[in-house]
Amino acid sequence: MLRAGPFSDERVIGLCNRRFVPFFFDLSNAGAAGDAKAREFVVGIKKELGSRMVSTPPVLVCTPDGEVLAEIDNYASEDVVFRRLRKVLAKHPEFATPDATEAAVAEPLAKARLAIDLGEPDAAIAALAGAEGDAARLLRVRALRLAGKSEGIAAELDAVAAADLAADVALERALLARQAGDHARVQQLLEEFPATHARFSEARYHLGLARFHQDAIDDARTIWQELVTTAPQDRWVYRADWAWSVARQQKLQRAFATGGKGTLLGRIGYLGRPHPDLAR
Amino acid sequence: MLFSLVLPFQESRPIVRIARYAMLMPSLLSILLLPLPQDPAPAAPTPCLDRTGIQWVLPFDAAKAKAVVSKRLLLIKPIAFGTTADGGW
Repeated sequence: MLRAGPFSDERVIGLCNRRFVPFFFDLSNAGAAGDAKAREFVVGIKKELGSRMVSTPPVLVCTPDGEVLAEIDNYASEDVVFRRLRKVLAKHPEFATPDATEAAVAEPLAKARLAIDLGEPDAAIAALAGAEGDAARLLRVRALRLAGKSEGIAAELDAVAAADLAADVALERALLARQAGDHARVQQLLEEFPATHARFSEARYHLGLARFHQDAIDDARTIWQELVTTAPQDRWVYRADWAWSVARQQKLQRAFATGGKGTLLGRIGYLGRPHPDLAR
Repeated sequence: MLFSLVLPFQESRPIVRIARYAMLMPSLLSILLLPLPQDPAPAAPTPCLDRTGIQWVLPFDAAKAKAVVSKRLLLIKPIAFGTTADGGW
């Protein structure tokens, strides 16, 4: 759930990588990702995780000495996880000091990227004030989108001149259209997205969403299935696997049929909370 | 509408009824007890099959050392469903 949910959210990813040391392990030492030292550490601070039967464990935010500063539910939403991470850093600024490389960042685009990673899109917009060029425009669009400010995005995209950025522009326009609920426009913008582009899986995921929200659920499932089974794994593939399994379940319920085994990625399923992008 | 809500629960096979009730009561999952897998699986040298973009630091010794040196907090996700042979989850 976390992998296809909050851990696939660009805000959470940026903040985790900049301000935390992310670590996962299998609670069973016999598992491939088992880690006896991690288990000893975690069971020392959460004794209930030491038994043979455990409830779904939360994410633990703790000091290297084992003081737990936050616990985040396994089924928390993207927004909740992001806010909790920001909150714990705000309460413990001693763990949020800029490192040496960050302190030296002066170039506007690099400053903006850093601000975005830290969950401060308004600071990114400010850092880009006066910055010219297509790269600056696209970064400003990303910051505006993360700040929830759609005004100004279209004008920025209109001004992007480089032909090799056309796919990026189309995708950003599609994200804007999705926000406005114009799913037909999203489909129009993303149907011919180049397969060699770095954001191809993101585009296909959103194309699937556009079809889903136009009640073309079979189309959506086909797009997601093709993505999950052919593209290299990334956060959009994880999210598509979740969406595909929800769409399949909806179809099965309509037909009063029973489900197949697991998801395309071999997971048992994504129970615990609704898929946030499929709400109608 | 009424049929779509009621009919699925008239399915006779218990496993199907249980699965459908579970889907409608997801919050119950948070209190389900999960057995930890006990069968050993061959460990991969660098178990990190995750492509979200999060830069996981493994093993724990390395993560803890990095947290101390860089004055950062550990963000630990214990996995209870088990991990695949190459360390994915």
